[in-house]
Amino acid sequence: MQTSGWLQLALFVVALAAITKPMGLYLTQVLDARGRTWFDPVLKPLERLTYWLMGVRAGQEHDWRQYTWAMLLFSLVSCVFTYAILRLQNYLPLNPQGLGALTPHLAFNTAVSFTTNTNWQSYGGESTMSYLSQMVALAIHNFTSAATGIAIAAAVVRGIARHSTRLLGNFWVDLVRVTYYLLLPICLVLAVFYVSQGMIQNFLPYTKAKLVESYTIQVQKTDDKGQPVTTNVAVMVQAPKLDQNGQPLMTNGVAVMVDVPQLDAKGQPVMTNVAVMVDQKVEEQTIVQGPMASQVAIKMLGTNGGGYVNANAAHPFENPTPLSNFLQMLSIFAIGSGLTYYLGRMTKNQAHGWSVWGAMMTLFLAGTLLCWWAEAKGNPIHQQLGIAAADGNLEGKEVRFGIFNSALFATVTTDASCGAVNSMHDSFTALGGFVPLFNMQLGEIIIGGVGAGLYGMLVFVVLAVFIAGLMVGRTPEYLGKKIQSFEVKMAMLSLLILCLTILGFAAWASVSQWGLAGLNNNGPHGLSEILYAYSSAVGNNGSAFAGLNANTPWYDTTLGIAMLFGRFLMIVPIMAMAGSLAQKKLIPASTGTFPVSGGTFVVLLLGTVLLVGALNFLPVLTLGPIVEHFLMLQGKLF
Amino acid sequence: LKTKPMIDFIFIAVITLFFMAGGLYARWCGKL
Repeated sequence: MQTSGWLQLALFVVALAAITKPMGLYLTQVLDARGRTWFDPVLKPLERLTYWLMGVRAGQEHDWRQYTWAMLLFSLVSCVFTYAILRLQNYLPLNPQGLGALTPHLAFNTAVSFTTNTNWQSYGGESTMSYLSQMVALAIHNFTSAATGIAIAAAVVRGIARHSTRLLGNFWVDLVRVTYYLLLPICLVLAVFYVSQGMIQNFLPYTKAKLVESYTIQVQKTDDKGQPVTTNVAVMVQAPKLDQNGQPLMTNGVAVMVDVPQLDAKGQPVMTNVAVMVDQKVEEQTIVQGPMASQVAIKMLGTNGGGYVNANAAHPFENPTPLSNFLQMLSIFAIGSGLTYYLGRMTKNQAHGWSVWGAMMTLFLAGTLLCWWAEAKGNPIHQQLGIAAADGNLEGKEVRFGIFNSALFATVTTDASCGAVNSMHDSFTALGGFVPLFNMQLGEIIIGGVGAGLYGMLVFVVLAVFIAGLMVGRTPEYLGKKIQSFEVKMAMLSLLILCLTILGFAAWASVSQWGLAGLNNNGPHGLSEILYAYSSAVGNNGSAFAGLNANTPWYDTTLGIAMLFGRFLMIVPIMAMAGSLAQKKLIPASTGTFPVSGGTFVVLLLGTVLLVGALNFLPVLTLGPIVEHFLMLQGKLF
Repeated sequence: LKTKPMIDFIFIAVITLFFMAGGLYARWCGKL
């Protein structure tokens, strides 16, 4: 854990704190239908035109059901639209590589993924998506799904801040204003800045470059009809190597393993069909081109995370410099952090907003330090093989960024529901990988996805206040509103959906043939890969332990359904809770009122997050990354 | 396009039914 890392961490926290208030103040204007911004002279006519074209009555507000229904309707139409584009992309323009249509299950998975702000990618962007698909099917969702999340957060905050009303704002107005006044202007600046750092932005076909030194790869042999050629071979398994006395041969306390044929009950070798591989000489490299900077700007700011290319932010085009790396991480947190200030501003209790921010930052720092420590400490087995201990665990990491920036990025991207990566989380040590997994299972409430992080954290705030009320024997109150059974039921319903969907789908995949077929690793790491996939999908994160091959009909479909559950089945009860809070009358604060700011509140909130949120996942985490860590210390890897 | 209209129909139906069910789910939540 080098000094440069500590300095960068301090710089990141200071920069985030510095932008929180200006962002919060700006959000206050954007999320007010009558708010004023610098962009009014240009964008106000466009805003009015949009309402006119859509037939929106901007002055008319919605109750929670109308607001939720509008959001669901918008998501339905945009999801089907994306599905259609992806299935028809080979007929559509801006496809210089002539890429084919996506399979139905992949199109379903991708359409749902981008509608839900997840950006789980069961495909490689550069080898699957045309420029039109990248821009029209995917980048547009990056804007609208982010705007939807912010709109829902604004409605929930209004529910808390208002009283004696059923109205929570107008979904269409929030959607349009967030997109026009917040996301588009910032993304325009960010995209131009990224281009200045070396990121590409063009419509050129992919470039072919002749390699200085050719190399050979193995590819599957095909017959005259293009069908794969297979051969029958014995199935091999690993067994301990025995010495002359029949005892296991040991090296540094670890049994030496050898491959031996697997035998059936009759003692005969078990045979299987495998593909015949042939050598292929590679003399050219294909270099990706396309409208990347514009996509990356919103991918980070909107906590979407879907990479333009498969390597995501580890690719030198998609993350060219240390400065672009820093700015990408900062932009992931920028809006979520500003929303905590917006919460304080709207509820006229700025200390409450900062206390929520403080609780989030405590969890963020704890996660970052654990992940950094685990990766810097590295893998003792690597060290036994002579790899320098001082380098830490560099497997799966971009050396331009190193240990600290990989650990910080992994923590930031999973604290938020971003899912962009600049290193491969599957290659982290067990404890290093535990951090992003655990962040997602908490519901991504540590700054969180744009909007989603705040409304997720507000669920825990309601529960914290409820628990505090139970402890002192008073009716719980939150900012002058009584918290009653309906609010607690809705809060618990949203949390139950989170854990039941993650654990239910992960359990199903773990005992199913289709689930196990996608694994590249066995043992606890294999379980972690499955668990990570469903935690990522339900949490609408999108990052992966990418050793899992998820582009299969079963995984694509179940992950798609998990994403839908994780997004919309959680939003509905939270909106119901907001609607109920908005209708309540204000009660004057008294000496018995539990304060929702300061150290006691932050500790109570953290305790609620960890006890109510995290304990659901402790058993499965024990079977996954925790046992994997202890087995690693004993010299066993998976 | 290797059209698989039946599979496309099923996936679009799943998406549509999910969001339609979301409206019923909201109504159920309101009654809890």
